[in-house]
Amino acid sequence: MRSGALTALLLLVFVLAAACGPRRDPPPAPPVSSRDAELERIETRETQLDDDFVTVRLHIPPTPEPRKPTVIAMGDRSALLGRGFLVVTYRINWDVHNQSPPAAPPPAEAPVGEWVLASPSPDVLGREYLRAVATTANEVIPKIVDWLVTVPEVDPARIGIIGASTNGLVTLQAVARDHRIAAAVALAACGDYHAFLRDSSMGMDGQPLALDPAYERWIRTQEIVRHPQRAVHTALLMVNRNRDPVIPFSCVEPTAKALERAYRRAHVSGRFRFTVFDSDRHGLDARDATAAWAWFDRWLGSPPPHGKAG
Amino acid sequence: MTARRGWLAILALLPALAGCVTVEGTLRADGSCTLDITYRSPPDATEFLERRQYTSPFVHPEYVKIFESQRTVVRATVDDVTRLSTAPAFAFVDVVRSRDGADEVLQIRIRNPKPQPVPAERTSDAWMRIGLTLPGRVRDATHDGQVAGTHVAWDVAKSDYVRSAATVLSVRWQPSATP
Repeated sequence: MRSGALTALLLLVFVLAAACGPRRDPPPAPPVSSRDAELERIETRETQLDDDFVTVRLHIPPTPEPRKPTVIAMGDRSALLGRGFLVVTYRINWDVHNQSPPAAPPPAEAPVGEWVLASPSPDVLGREYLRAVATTANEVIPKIVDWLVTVPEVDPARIGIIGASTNGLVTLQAVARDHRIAAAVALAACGDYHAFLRDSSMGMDGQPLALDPAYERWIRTQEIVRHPQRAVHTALLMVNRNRDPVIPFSCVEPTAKALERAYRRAHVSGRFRFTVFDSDRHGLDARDATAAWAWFDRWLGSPPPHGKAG
Repeated sequence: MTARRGWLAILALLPALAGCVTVEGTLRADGSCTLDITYRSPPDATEFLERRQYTSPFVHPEYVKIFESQRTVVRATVDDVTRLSTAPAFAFVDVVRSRDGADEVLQIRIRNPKPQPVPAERTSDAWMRIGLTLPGRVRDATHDGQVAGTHVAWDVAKSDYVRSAATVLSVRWQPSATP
């Protein structure tokens, strides 16, 4: 009885204190538009990898499939999400490890190249750029995949990657590096870096290369045109323009031919496709999207009955 | 790659932001405050980087979320509101507290490093809504602040911010007898 009275008294004091104290009504939350609400049915999740060097974001569509086909994609992700793919985006925090961002050429004495290939001298043309591509493809993407295979919503047998231009170069190298990537689309990219540096309008624009021997040896270890057999585990689509001044066809064609031969030797010719559009622009249009989504639908769209489809 | 930003502050880098920014703050008598900020971040934004924008020895992000719509919600606590500018997101926001007799005054000065002329017809575009709950009844506020009890709300038009070297918001309140 005494304890009941004490409880009532404490309750009364609490209520009075609350009533007499300054008002602390929470402010009304800003209204969320119906368009935002619809988009926000897609769950987002973010994680840090490699001691904050890489930020990875998952965009998870509200589909019933518990383990979803997953595509690592930079750029517009809405079409992939609309088709039920879980989309993975990432950002490399170059400053965290005091590394230079890829597009910051050092002060030049005899400058050569343009934009991302701008370099202080011809012997190191594109070196920082290609190193950034290699770091992304050989280190960052595998770490992302390491993490993805632990995510419950990701089907580890249906992981793909798509990239255009620089991200297309990354895509080709990442495929060669990571055997867990089941399907890939490389748009406006190539894997013969010698031809790329020599003939690209950003590089020597057709003039002969004069690369430092050590740098050239390193390039040989990276370019997929010399190691096409490393890619045959992946269903790979290359889409290019025949007169793209930035990604010259002299780089594209040897890459595609080398890959075709490698896939044929591995008896998986159907896993490689090379599509060429007639254009003198370095860019994408609806045809790239159509080809890419069809490729992913085919190779990642439905769960393979027994492991990866061949 | 665009810069990103926050509360009043967001202001600073505000030209990079599309859509409306809302900031709702609660100032306590000891000078600390809590901020709830909502804005739209660019497509390549990450919570990691946004969090860094709202971090300093005096500013502590508690919650940062970027939704699929790019709607971004940040909740941060500030030990001392006059040190707000120590966080990168608030680098262009100066906050000063002062006394005016028995009242207290808070002045928020949002600097614009590159003011530009704005066509006269573009004057009413709502851009930033800043609300502040104070530790006492508000007596008055500048910049057409809407006062209701202990709360003041300001609407800042983008054109106002763009054309001025600084947007100054000021509020005067009567401190409560009890903290």
